[in-house]
Amino acid sequence: MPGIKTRSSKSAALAGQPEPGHNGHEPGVTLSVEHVSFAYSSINVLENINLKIANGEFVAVLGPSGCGKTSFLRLLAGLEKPTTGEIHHDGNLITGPDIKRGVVFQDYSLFPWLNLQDNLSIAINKSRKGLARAERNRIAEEYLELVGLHGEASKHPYEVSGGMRQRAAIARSLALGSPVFLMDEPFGALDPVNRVRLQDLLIQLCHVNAARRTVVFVTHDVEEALFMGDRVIVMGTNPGRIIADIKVPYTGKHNRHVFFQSKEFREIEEQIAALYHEDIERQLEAGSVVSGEGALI
Amino acid sequence: MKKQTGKSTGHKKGLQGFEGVLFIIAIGLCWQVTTSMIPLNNPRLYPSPAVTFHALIESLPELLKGTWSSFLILIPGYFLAVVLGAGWGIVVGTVQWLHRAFDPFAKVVAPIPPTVYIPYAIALMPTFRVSAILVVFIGAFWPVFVNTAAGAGAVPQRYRDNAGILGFGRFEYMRRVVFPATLPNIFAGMAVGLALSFILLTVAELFGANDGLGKFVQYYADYADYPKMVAGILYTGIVTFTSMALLDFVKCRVLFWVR
Repeated sequence: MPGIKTRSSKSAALAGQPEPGHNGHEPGVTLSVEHVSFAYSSINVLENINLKIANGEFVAVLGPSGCGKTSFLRLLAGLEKPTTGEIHHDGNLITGPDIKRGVVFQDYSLFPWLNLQDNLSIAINKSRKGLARAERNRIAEEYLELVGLHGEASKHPYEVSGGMRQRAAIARSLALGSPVFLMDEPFGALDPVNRVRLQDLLIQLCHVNAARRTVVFVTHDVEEALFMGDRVIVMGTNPGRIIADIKVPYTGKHNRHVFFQSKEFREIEEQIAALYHEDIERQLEAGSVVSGEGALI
Repeated sequence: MKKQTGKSTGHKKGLQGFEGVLFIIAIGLCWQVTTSMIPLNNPRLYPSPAVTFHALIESLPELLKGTWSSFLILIPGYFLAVVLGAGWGIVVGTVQWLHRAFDPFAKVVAPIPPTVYIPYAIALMPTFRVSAILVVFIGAFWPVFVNTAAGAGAVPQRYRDNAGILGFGRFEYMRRVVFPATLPNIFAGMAVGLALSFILLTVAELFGANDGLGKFVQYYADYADYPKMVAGILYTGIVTFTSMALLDFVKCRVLFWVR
């Protein structure tokens, strides 16, 4: 057990814990996660998560499956409540979902009984109240065009490909007018070509434009996390916690070819591989301690 | 669309898809053969297909009038049961405390065979038509309600998540999410309810109607005109089948998004 403590304190140093006792809203901080733990049916999914996400930051949350990264995103969205700790959005305590935080799920952000236009139209009805139906439909079509879905407005989710559904889901978050995008492995179910296309589209929509959106992007793909994120939060398993908080250098980014060839990329990739390895070793060690005790008794 | 499937089963395809029709023809032949073989004291007791068909054509005006009369009971009772059963089911399935309050009552009352209400309904209500409508309503209400409430109580997490993200209030959530998400359950309940409605309708008509499909069968049984009675049974079957097929057609149109 002492072995684990040392390791987790080492990781905590890497993660850059925020100073405790902070209450007020810090300017420039959009999402503030303080001492958040989350248990689901008496299993500790997340333990003592501390994180500040600045306005306009693109944060990739990277971790193996089962590390609680989806739970973390659901907490940010307000779809789950933390067992302990608090999450603030622009200084306001998050108590439930809000259209200020648009969410894109892996493959179920749209209602199957509505066509793409109507799926967007109900979002526009929320962000711009009191618009006539025709006006909403027109705006919905504009958003669909923005994500490359020209002329697909009347199609239903089951009639279009997974990539098109995710495009429409992104368009819905744009139509909701959410300043914060929370994305849970949004391109995880796509083929490599569509994946690259949608990564580029998302960067173009949220990153390159003058008005930058704050994005929290959950993925288990190291390349995707490093390519997309200004900052990569690496999570470990059992219980889920932050084991590293890495700034991704901006040089050559968004030129896929240059970035993946760069020294920085390879260094960070190695660093993350080492962190994962350490996390797995720690778990194996903890496992052997438990079975050792069992053998003694 | 795939050419291959057509090719591989090409030699078998002649009869494929017509098995149902062939079976009905076989049953008809059996019927014809047995009527000529079985010696009965009263041959009218087991009429041949030709005699029955003749009786059917002969009584068609009367049967159509009976259908109209029956539908004047069936449609209001069934329609009311669908609207109230689905509406109340969505509310009870969504609002937790209402579910806790209503569910024990529903569990006790829903399984009562609705036919037992018929004598009391006839005694209680001013006319036979109103009492029959009431019985059809009760019979169709429970399957629609039970199915709807179960569906509304189990709306998939993904739809609930999306409703939350879009900031839906309770009413909007029920109308825009629970209702469409529960439609498959509502239609399942509607199919059971419709079949039950026909049973209750005809049984109620045996009791005290002046007109209608059940009355037709009862009337000619009383006068031992079995060809007409059998024709009435067949005709009732056709009407029931057509109604169910119509409901199925509507279901497929409405639930186009269910795969």
